[in-house]
Amino acid sequence: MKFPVEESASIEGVRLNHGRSLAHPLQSSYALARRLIVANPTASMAACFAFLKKSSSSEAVDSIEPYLWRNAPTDSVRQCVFCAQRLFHPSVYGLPALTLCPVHHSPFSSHCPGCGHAWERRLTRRTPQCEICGSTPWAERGTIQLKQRLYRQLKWFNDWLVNCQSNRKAHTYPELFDIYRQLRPRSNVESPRFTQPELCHPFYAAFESQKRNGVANQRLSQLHVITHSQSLCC
Amino acid sequence: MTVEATSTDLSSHPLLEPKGVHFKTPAFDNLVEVLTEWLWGGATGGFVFGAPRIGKSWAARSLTDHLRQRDGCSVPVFYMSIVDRDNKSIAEVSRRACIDQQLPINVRANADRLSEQFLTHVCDVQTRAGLRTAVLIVDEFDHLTPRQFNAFAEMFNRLDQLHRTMMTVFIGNKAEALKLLGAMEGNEYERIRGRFFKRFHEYYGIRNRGELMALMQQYDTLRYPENGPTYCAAFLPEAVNAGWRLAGLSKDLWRLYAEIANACELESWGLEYVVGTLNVLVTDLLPRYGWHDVDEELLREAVLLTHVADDFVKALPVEAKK
Repeated sequence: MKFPVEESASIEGVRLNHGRSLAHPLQSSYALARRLIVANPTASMAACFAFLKKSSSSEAVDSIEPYLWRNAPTDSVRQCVFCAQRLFHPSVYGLPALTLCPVHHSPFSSHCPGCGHAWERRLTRRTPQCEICGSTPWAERGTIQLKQRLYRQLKWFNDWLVNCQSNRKAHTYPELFDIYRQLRPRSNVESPRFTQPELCHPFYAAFESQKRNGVANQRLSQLHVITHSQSLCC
Repeated sequence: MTVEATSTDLSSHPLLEPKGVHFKTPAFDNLVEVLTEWLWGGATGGFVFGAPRIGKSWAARSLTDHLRQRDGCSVPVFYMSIVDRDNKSIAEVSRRACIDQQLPINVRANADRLSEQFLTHVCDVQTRAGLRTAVLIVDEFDHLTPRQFNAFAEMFNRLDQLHRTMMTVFIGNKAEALKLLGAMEGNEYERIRGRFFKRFHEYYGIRNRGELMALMQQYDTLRYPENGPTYCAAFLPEAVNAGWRLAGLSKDLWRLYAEIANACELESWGLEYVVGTLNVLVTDLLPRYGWHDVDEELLREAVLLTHVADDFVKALPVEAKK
């Protein structure tokens, strides 16, 4: 899901809550939108979205999200049920490379098991009320924060992916396809084309890790990211 | 400088705007001290009462940035004013809280949703301030019914669930407030009394010459604009250059007010009337009639111009008798 984020302001003479007390250090734009809706139970959905568009620059979403926008095959949200109850959804949950929730070790789903609707439906309708994908019960709002260690791990993964994406543009080393073309420049036969996996490919993280001699494999495995044990070097 | 030029420059002066200046008074400093003591003592609430038109609401609205924790952090202050409505429901309290904080309200929203909206706002501000406490000022609380106090108890409980607190301070007119509190003597209100009415403070206007002088000295020291002339110098430049100070009139002015107050049984000089008197003196009477030898009648006129001694409602039966 793509939601532009700008400076905060009051909407039509009323001030909407940011829901800062419900915020997590990492958040996707889906999480931000849901948080604003939960924090403003008396505001209309239209007002919430108008507020979202004018929301402050301090409400930045994860740095990997813009890369996901370019590569995501679908707008559907992947979410962990237990994270949903804590209003937690980092952008990296949208990566197919992630097999299980790194926090709760539970599988991701595209639909809420409570109400059966897609996770993103909550961004358009408040009803039917659901304690998993809808508004978090008041009494549980004091305990929605996760352990700092988990935030640090996910932040590292987020930054590692951003780093991989940035380096990808800057690379100068030849790919197999370049070598093949050098060997047979005038051949019209179909070349055994090799392309790197994109961000939304299940083996993207494994490939990027192996490019760096697999040094990140252990940390990635702990986060339930698909890795590959064999080196890319021949 | 020509007269025209002067009048143009002064047109935006804060003394010429209604309630354009927030003067500090001993009563306000005392209120800040008392509320700080309550806050540091972990009080859940209390009430402040006083005569009408003495500046309670002004003081309540000025409390922002004045209440601090022991470490110097400014405690967020939320102000709401209760209004008299036909519908005296519990939801009405949360609705009023949302309205006064400019939060959205929905016709279909129930008490839970409205209170959630307001309390989320409180949590947001607390989070931004890096604190887990806040102060809610409920002005004109004498318009509440005893049952409506449950709304504040619920707000306190809901914040307590999130390990946050909010001290609720009720402010109201003495006569009506004491009447309401008198109606809450029963055991069924013990919970409310224990939570909010263990602590109280009486607010006054100007009560003695020293307090009046402190207020008048602010006219001699405050400047507009920041590097411009003092308030007095703006309207009486020659007088101030000659060493004249408004505070020098405090003795005569207090004596005249005391005479009026004794005759009309006034307990203290309400801030609205004092500031009105001083404003009319500085901006109008003294520049017009001179500042060299200020006549007592001029000062008396300045006091009476604010209608401090008038009560037409009380005067009506007298007229009827005639």
